[in-house]
Amino acid sequence: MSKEVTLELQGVSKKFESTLAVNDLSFSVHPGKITGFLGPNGAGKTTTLRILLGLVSQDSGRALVNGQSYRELENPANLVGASLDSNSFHPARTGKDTLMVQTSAAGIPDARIAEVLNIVGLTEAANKKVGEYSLGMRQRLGLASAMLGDPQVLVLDEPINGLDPQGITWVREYLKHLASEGRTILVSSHVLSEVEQTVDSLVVINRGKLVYEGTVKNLRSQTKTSVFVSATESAKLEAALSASHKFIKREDGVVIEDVEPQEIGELALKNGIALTQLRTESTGLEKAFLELISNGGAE
Amino acid sequence: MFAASFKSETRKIFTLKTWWILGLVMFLLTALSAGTYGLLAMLSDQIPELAMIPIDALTIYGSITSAGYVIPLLSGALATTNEYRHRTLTPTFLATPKRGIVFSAKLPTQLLLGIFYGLLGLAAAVGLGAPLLLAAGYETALSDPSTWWLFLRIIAVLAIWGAIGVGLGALVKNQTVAIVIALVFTQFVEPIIRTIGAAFEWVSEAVKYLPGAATDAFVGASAYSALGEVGSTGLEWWIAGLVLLAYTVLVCALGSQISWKKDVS
Ligand SMILES: Nc1ncnc2c1ncn2[C@@H]1O[C@H](COP(=O)(O)OP(=O)(O)O)[C@@H](O)[C@H]1O
Ligand SMILES: [Mg+2]
Repeated sequence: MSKEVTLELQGVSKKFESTLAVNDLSFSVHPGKITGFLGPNGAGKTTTLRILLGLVSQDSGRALVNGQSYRELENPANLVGASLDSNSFHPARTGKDTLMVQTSAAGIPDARIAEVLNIVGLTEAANKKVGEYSLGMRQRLGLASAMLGDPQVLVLDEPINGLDPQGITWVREYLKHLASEGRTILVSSHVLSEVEQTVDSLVVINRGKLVYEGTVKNLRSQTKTSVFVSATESAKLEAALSASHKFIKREDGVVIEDVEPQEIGELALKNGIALTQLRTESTGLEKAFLELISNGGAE
Repeated sequence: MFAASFKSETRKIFTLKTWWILGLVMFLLTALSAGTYGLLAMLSDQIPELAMIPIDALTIYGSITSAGYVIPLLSGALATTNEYRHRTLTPTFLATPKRGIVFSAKLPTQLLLGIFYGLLGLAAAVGLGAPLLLAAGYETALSDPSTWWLFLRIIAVLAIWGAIGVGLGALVKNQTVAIVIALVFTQFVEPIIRTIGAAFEWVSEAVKYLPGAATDAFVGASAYSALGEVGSTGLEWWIAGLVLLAYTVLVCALGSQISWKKDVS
């Protein structure tokens, strides 16, 4: 088994009745990194991940794990761990029994169950019925199930959804730890800020089509930030700005697009204007992301 | 792959309560029907009209299947519809992406459960029926080899119904619909058709091939053949067995090839 496992989609399309959920989508996910899979709700993320894992059949194209389709893999749980749906547990089964069903199917020793329950912090709830679990606990159980086979690849569909702030921090740190061990991680989200600090690479889709594939850094550099500024003498500020910048007036100040705060600070100094506030209005990354997913319009 | 899947399917059953609840129902159902016939046997020397009903040991033991074949049917149907209803096909197919293996691993688990239900039914029917028969002055027929041959057929046919349930559940998908079909067909639709069928000769020829009728014919002794169908003779036991196998193959093929292969989303 190669240590360098990749995930790859080649021209995959899938139509549900009248909805084209995935539209000629190609991208690949490389080892040793966390790749964020982003797009607004309904963009086709879940469908894509399910195609990759052999749960949904694509109409055309190829979805490959390590060069093979998932359904051809001999013992997939030792290669790929996945958590797709926090509602895919029988409510009357305990957390431990849920994992017992999985270990037996995948030929994994039962001793591993206590280990993964410990990793995700469910040891105490192990003998409780899943029906009594909170959404956050079911997310943790899903992650535990994905980790049973100590897989080289992790595929997680919105794993942060439903977690409390503590849980979110924990998942982020854990994913970083797993990636540092050289694992390949593909994690979906519809909120960039949720995964922004965690992921190395981004795959962004909108309406089933690829709109960005590359590093977070690269996307961040594609737009400048906008800056909010206010001064006691606001008329003087506006006059100074109007010579060189386009700006939007607000009640308490002005917003200037595509500019760095430093530039505005220097301009104020040159004109002897006392600023009351000077701050970045929205990060460039968020703007770039919103632009990507508004092109063609999700709604 | 198959062995792992079989083990997983077994764990799915024993980590829920359904298996023993259905076992309890099986025991009580059979005890009720064997007990009723046993009491009829006891009363038949006081109430002459009852003597018209030919009650014997085989009728009592055979009532296990006519009263109880719905139990393995439900058990099998729950095994597949649970997966759709609780969305557990996702983790199941992630661990075993070859879906045919998962489906076929459910068959032996339900065959074994069917045997278990058969043994429970026998325990109730013999345990309650034999003493009542003795009290009424009838033979228990327990030393007769043909009685043990009957027991074997009873167990075999209940195992087959477990497999039919797996196929039915896989095909229908919706748990409520599957349960309603299982109950309504076995408890109302078929009995009504068979009662009507007994009155018209041309219908009774076709009615013999219904699954419940084939079950009775395979077992060869049941309340129906004792009470109702005077005109019809039923199928030969081995033909009835083949008819049941044909039903099993048909419903399992449809279930595993159509619904079971659909997208899991
Ligand atoms: N089983 C299905 N039947 C019909 N439409 C579906 C099905 N699954 C997803 N869709 C549709 O496909 C599109 C993509 O959905 P999905 O992959 O769940 O997006 P995301 O995970 O990005 O929110 C949506 O318009 C959704 O309504
Ligand atoms: Mg989704």
